[in-house]
Amino acid sequence: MKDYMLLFRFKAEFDDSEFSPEEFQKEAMKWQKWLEQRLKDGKLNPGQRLTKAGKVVSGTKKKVNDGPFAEGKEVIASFCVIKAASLDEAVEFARECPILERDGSVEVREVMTY
Amino acid sequence: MEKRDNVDKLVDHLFRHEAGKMVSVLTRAFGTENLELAEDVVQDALLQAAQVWALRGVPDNPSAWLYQAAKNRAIDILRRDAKSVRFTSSEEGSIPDREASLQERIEETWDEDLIKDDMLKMMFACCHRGIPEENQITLILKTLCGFSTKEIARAFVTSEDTISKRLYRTKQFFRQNDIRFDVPPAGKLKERTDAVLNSIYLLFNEGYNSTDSEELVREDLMEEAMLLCKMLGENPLTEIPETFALMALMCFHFSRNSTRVSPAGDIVLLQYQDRSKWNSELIALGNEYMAKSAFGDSVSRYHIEAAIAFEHCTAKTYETTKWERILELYEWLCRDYPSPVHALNRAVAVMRVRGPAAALSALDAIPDKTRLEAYYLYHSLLGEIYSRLGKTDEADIEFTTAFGLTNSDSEKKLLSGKITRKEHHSD
Repeated sequence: MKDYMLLFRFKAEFDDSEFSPEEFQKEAMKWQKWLEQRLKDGKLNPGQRLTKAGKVVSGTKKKVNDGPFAEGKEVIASFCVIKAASLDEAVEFARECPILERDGSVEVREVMTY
Repeated sequence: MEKRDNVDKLVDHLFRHEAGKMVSVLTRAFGTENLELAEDVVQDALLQAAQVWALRGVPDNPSAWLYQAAKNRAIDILRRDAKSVRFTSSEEGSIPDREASLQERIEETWDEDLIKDDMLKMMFACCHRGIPEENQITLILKTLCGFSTKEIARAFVTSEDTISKRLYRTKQFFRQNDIRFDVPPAGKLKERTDAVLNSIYLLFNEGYNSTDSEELVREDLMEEAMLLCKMLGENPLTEIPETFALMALMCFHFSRNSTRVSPAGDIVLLQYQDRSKWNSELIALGNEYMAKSAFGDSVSRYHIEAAIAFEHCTAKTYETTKWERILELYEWLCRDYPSPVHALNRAVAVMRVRGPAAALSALDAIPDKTRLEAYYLYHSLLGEIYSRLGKTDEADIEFTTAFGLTNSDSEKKLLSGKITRKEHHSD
């Protein structure tokens, strides 16, 4: 078993703040249905959601920007770490992620062991 | 005990119903003039819950989690911009004092019984006499039932813009008139409870009569109306015979719901409905509420309408329905609660008991029948009567008029079937 980090990204213009209560519940349940089994099997380190507040510091000039929130760009929304036998297994799992229905993406990265 | 699945902790519509509770509690704290603020706080709490629960699982006590999130958010807002929140109600003292007492109010009283009182007060505020009925039910759906503007628009088959305007005007009314968030004084309680029941029934009928919106939306409206009425029935202040009579009536109507529209979305008339599919549990529940409603000396329109619905629900077949009894009840209804629509329904019963000619005279005798002329059901009944009298041409004219007056596709389909059918009615 190896650890894989899943990085969830939405398009910058995605906005769930105006969802209706019913939509919130449906969305949360979709994610839970997806993660539930892994959580029970001890193969999920519950992740965190990030707020929209943020800045990016970059380059040798240490330039501070207002974050990667330009239209059309993808923004990291949340992350979690799962245990899987292989990258393929982790990717198979990621393929069922509800974020894809919202035109977002999941980046699957193996966590280095040493 | 078997461990519940994470997802099972969330009962159906939990978010929606908790939203209604939280908006009520926060409106008590903030005052009706700040309803919008209460709604914003709740929206934030729900957003946070959805985002956190999605990844970390549903907490053991989802409601408590939501309340805590709402409290935190409300207190945040008060700390940050207490001055920008315009409080008009009878709050005395300086802003810091008010802020402190508001914080206290937000912290306390999130237990179920007090929340129920707050919801009742919210109902009274929504059903204030100064608010037009359609705006009342729009606000009820938005605040107490946790529907979004878009969902209300879909349920009422209208535009989001229309709904936004209704909500805007009602909130403006609250601000301008300093509407108290309270139970009406004893002398006004009956009258105000009647207004609330009226709105609940309107809400129910929006669901029951709308043949255009999808099945699920229609059922949602009916269920919400029944939940609100149940709440009134459980509160000592509002557990009056009328409340139980309305509850009985809604149970009877709802029991036939699944057979009223075919899988293809077409209307199925009462005589063709599959009675074996009527919900016997709901009919039994309706009976219980009927029994509960039979105290005191008041016979409301809900009592009589429930008695009529009871006759329909318990008849083995359409033919063996006790039409004489139903006619008697309609006569009672028309006498004590005269309305053109009741008179129209009475005419249907007259047709069953005394035939089409008598039904035609009954329609003719409706005093203010001009008010019915824009109503498609009036013309559709006239068409039915003419058709039974063998007057096919007149029948076609009426069915065509009815066709032009309804916006519902399934009603139109039903009517057009009658127009093209030239042979005499045989049933």
